[in-house]
Amino acid sequence: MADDKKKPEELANISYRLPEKSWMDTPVDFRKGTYNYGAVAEKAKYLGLPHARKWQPMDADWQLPENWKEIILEGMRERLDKFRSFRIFMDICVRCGACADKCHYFIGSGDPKNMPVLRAELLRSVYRKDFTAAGKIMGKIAGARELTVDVLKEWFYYFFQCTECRRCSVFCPYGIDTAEITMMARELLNLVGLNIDWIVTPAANCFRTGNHLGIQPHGFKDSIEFAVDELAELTGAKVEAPINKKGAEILFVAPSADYFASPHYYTLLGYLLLFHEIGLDYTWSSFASEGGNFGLFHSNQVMKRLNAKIYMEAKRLGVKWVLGGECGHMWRVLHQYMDTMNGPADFLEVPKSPITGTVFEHAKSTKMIHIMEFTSDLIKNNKLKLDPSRNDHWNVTFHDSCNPARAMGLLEEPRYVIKACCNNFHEMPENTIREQTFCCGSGSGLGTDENLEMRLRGGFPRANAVKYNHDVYGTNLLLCICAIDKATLPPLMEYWVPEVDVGGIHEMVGNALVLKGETRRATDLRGTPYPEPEPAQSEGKEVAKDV
Amino acid sequence: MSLTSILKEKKSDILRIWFDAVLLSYPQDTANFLIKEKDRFANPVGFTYQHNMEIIFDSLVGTTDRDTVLPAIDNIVKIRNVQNFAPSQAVAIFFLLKQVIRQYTNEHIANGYRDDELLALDAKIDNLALAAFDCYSSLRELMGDIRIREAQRRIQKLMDRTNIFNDISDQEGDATNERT
Repeated sequence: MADDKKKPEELANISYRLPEKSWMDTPVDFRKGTYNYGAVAEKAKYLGLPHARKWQPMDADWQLPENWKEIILEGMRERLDKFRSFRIFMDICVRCGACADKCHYFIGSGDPKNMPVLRAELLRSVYRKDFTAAGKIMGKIAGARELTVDVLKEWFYYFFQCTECRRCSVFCPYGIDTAEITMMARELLNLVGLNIDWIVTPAANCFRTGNHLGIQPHGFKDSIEFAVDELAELTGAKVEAPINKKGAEILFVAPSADYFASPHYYTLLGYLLLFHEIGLDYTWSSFASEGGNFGLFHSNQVMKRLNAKIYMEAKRLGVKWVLGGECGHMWRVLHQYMDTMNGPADFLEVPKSPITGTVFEHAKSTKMIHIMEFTSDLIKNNKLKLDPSRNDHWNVTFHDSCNPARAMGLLEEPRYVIKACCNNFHEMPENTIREQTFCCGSGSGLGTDENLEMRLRGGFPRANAVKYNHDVYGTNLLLCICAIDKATLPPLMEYWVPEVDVGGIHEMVGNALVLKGETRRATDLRGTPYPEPEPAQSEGKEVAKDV
Repeated sequence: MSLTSILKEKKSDILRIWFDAVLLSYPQDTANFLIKEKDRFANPVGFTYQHNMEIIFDSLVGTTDRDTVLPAIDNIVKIRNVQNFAPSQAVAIFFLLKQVIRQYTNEHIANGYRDDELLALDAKIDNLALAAFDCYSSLRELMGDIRIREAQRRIQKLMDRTNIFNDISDQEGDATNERT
């Protein structure tokens, strides 16, 4: 390992062969760069989480509560009874191996415990020992093992190496959802105060102020107004961005990184321009100012508490329905869990586009849609004047973010919008996109700088496909519709494909959008000057027919 | 027969043995996957190794220029830099070539080649390994830079808005005015 000190004469005698040991007998090595720091006690206390304390994964003693084993096994029993899927997933795997080589972490790291089947086996082995007759009697022969501190450390290491992207589930003949196994494992770890700071602190901040950096309402307002001013400089448009406007038709909720991080910010400029151009009656909320839900990575209870803010604000402001920005896991939470967690939202109406009249029937229950659905509908109905040549400096490809694409089927809409706004678009290879998309390697709370080495391993399959596109087509921009992607793909690209930048689809919309009576734009939304002569802007084409 | 001719003729055999030796640094299950899965997108690590090892091998027999071989070394070291290897293990695979070639020629080649040829080959391999060491070091530096830039990007617009950093480019006009 990296920290081993070898004598000079030993350096010349390197053994290339790994020691042959059973996976059960190989303890975890917490190598710097491959794990996340533990949750800060104060933040965990703020959320009322159990056994909050000062600890770090590299410490020898994790200061577990005395009865930690009892707590974990009782927690497991409770969940096996409560969630039928959990018990089924513990029982039915036949170890066929179909999932084994589908995980980006396994592909990139070469660590067999990152094979989804083996990662799940870390939990199953304990399940067998304590909850099945065969495991109780036959022990190791039946694949059962005792829950020890080393096993617990192994759980922490590997279940915070799963990004809950569900690529493996696509290939499982039984449909075992490994993301749900990870969720259960993380819930069990929470019971003894083991979680990571990049989940607990953002969750605590979201709970307190509504967004993950803990920006307070006046700071949020300043941020949006700053963007409005910058848009006026860039495009000449005098955009309005109402905040906490009671009686607006639509509540718009975007991931908070859109208003303080780069390159997310250019997507925010795109939303603002779009809403201005179509005259949308909408409002931001300074209290539901985060689309992302870090609770999804923690536990169903924390997820529910954070998600509740969206409906509560929708009710307080008296809007008709809710629109979500470019966010990945927000989409999964709202589409898959929101209705049962915090619904029914019987005070809202079925989303109906005020511009096209389209009724979004699929959101009849949740009353919330994704902006890709909204914008693609606008384009389909010829409501936008677009000049894709204003994105000609970009040669783009599209990364399907795991949650909107694989989990929730948002596959066509983003592509439809990209094709309307960009002349140079090339898909990545078939087995790396759509349902088979490779994760960014940093989802589900793992996108920290201390975990960079692991993220670069996990992100390699994605970066490898981007590199291919760059080499073959000259791709220089990787588009995505997820705030975590926008934060974590740039470092991934810097390492593996430094020629490729990262952006959001509504940045492309904002560039291409020809405003009524606009003056010629000198730059794109990033402030990059357009080459001379400027592209003809007054003849924005009606693109719907061409898409 | 010269050593170069032997290497050219037996290229595929030697490459296979070299790859097998590299795979020993991985667990058995992983090694099986790296060698069996042929799709370059499903198995980017295996593909990167095999594709670039061939380029590197060609450089030993003089058919590859430096501009081609350095990116090939970089592509491989990039992977081993972030995997679970000590620095020495990450670059050791280039030294492996010496063992592989000696072993192969001892076992399969009846007519010996000149010692000076072998010494020249060793020197070439040492150079490859030194280049790999350079790559490894620069990649470690790059990772440090990436961490800093990522932290900046996370709150880039907050910093812009609050004008926390009033950098020189903002004041360039003023400074020029003062001078003139």
